[in-house]
Amino acid sequence: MLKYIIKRLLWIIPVLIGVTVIVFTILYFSPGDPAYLALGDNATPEAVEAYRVEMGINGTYWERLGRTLLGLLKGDLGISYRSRTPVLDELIVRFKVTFNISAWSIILGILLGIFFGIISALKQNTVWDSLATGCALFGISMPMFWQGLMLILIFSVWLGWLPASGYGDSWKQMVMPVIALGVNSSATIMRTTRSSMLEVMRQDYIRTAKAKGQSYWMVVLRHALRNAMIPIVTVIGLQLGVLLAGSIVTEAIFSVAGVGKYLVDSLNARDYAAVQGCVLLIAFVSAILNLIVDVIYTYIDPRMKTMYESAKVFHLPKKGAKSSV
Amino acid sequence: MRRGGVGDPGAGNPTTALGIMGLVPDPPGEVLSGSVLFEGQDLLQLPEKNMREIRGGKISMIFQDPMTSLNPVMTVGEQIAEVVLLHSRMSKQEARKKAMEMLEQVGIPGGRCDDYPHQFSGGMKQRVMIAIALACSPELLIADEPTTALDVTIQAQVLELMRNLKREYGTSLILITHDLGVVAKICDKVAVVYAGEIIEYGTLEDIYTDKRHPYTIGLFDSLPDIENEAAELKVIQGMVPDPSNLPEGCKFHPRCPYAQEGCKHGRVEPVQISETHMVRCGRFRSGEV
Repeated sequence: MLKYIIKRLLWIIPVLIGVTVIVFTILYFSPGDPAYLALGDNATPEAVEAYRVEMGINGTYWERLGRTLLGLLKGDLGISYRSRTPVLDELIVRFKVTFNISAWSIILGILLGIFFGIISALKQNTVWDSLATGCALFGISMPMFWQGLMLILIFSVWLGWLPASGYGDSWKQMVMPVIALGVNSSATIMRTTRSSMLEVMRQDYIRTAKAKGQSYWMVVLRHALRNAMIPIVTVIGLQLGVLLAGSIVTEAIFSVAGVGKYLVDSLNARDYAAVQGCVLLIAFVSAILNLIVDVIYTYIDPRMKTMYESAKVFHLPKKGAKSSV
Repeated sequence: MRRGGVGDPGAGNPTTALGIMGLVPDPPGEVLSGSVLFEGQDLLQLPEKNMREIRGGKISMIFQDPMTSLNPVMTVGEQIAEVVLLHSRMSKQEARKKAMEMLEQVGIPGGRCDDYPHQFSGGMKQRVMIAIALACSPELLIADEPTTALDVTIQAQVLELMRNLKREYGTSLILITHDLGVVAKICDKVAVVYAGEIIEYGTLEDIYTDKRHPYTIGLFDSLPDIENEAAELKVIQGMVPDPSNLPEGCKFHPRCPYAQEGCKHGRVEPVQISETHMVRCGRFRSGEV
């Protein structure tokens, strides 16, 4: 198992290099020149050149790409054109904010999603089921930015209970971003929980558990939910990715100074080093989260563990050929 | 007492067994009427809480398909210990020990109690099911086609095991099967079931040497005979009726070679033809045979 984890961790490196190359190339060919944007349209060619050298954006495509990748190896994400500070330092501060909001959101999403998913599976085709699936459908269909705006309209403008924007002054500022993000994921998690529980509850081993004289709720929680968790964990893993993307929208709406807002602002200012850093960070976090989800699988489903541990037996990669993980 | 129930698929055997356990899937099933008497109590009238004490404790059940009847994400030890913990006052350690003992009893090394079901073969899984079923020394064991999903050599082993353990634990057994050979091997009394009704009931000898009901006769006739080289097997004409649309009168009359006008109407009551032998056929009531 440890070997598997190490292997997966090593695989993150080529992923990050790939992401860097793609993002760098897209930004390279995108319109807008950061030097003119920073110095103004009337800047002299000398000043522009000096600025480019200072920011490390002089030279050909290959020179710049090489510099970026070398910097990446050293853990250097470059310097923000706007603030002239290392991108990494900026990111660390903002990531804490995004992490905080995302963590609370996913916890909210998991709790709501699994709870209502179980209820609606056990009470299939009743009013409760229709109500829960109806709410989930609403949660999935409505775009996140619209939900965020509605929350602001209701709780800040009309009721005046919660501050409409900002972060860090009071826990109240976190409530709406967390709800906007969490409710959205809970809808997907709820639907998966429902269908997974419905399927598992019809399995033979549930009948066996009942035949042992086990109580209804113990059958549901011990036998059914543990088996139903396999697809649910998959969806939670996917939702974590969605959450990171969603935080871009949510942070922009609620003016939370997280990675998402930083990414949007940097993009508007053509601060390419910062954009690249943000995307890289998001890719890195996604890769790590995926790994964590895969490891969690093995704890839920012992069959997976056997599969991972004996993976070599099934497909021996040819020497030099890349094996897919 | 060992009793076997034989009959066509769809005859209602397994459903009856689930009815005894109060485990008929609802929806779509529901027990509408009748009673299940066990040690003087009607199980259908018992509240769910008391019924739970009986399930797994006093009456336990072995299911048809061992491949899907064990929970894939729990170790077999946990699954045996679970039923022990529910019906006795053992601590977790004691229950685990008991689980290992039960595994040994069914011929699996106790050390494998931390393995998961996918690490066992089909025959071993059914042994684990037997260990779960017998862990609390139940009064009654209902086995619903316990060997159908297993291949023949494993079938023999599992049947032998069930017979020995039954003797050792003093458990009564209701065996539901399509396999007349299995019945002959284990059972004392046999009930032949057709369309949800017992149509003939008697000792093993009554049924095997003195069968009376046309359906039972047809059932035995359809067995392949090693000495007879006939190219085609004898079959009972027609199909098992749809349980939701049973024929009026004797439920077997559309397929019965002896059917008369009288068989088409009215309920056929069972007739006692000897002290141990009961048959539900109109011809015996009228004294024709």
